[in-house]
Amino acid sequence: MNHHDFKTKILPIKNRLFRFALGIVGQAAEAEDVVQEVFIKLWNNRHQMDSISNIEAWCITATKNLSIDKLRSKHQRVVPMAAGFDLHDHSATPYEAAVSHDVFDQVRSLMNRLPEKQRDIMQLRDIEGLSYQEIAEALGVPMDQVKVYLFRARKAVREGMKSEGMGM
Amino acid sequence: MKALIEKYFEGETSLEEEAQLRAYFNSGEVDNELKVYEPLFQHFASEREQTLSADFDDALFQKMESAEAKLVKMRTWPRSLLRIAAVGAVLVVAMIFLQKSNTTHAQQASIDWSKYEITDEKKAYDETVKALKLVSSKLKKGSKKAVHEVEKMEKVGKYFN
Repeated sequence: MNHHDFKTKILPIKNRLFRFALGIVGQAAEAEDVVQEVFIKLWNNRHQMDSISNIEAWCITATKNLSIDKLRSKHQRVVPMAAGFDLHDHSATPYEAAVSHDVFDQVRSLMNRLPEKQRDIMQLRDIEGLSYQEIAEALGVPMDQVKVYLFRARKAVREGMKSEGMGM
Repeated sequence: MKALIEKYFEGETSLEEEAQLRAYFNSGEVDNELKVYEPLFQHFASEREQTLSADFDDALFQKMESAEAKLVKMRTWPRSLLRIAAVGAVLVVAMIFLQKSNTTHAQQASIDWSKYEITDEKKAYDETVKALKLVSSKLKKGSKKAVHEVEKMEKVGKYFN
């Protein structure tokens, strides 16, 4: 792997890795550090990387492991992200905007409360748009299990939305 | 669309169908009946827009360069030093080994067994008798102990009869 390969094949997935790390560590600065560490680790081992068939899956696995390490080392807990993120807002009035942010936080909190595997899989599928195969490779979970976890995650979120009375 | 959302919750939708759902729920023209699912798909879309800070690439490349420089430094200096140290260690071990094996040979060679050899016939006979007596006394002790144990067994046996 050379600089060109790194810039064209690896760098484009940086935001995907950032969001995945963010889902685990809960803080943007920490998530950025994780992605940076993953890329440096990859670059330092670039000569061995040619033998890896799916580098994106490798990056996702490394991101997950490093995020968990970071979380453990700082004894932090996963908390819903603070308001003020650059959320896309199409609301017409401040009241609508407030309600919309509140609803987003509720959805985010529902996802964060899912068991780890379900949350990771739902994020990689519904936010990142990865195929079952790609998720299976990245998380080291058999493909049929990925489908089962995803089904359970979506069902739990739907039920959570119902029980929290989110417009249902 | 209602059928598609049910398919989604069953975990049966393809990536294309999921993209269709995201587009529909972010279009602002959602059917009243399906409005309840709007926040979920809008959340997915908004999460997707979260990105790293603008200076991430510059900071990364800077770190990559310094990490690489460190690696190169570590590879040149300590590696050559390690080679010298390894050769030195091998020589020291070899020297210790050689010295040890020489001293044991020398020690073995310095023992003169001929001076312990008995030349007088009478003395040799006496030494042999002494050795046989020692063996015999040990054997006697053994048989005495055996007789004693048998007697003990007989006593115990009486209680059972």
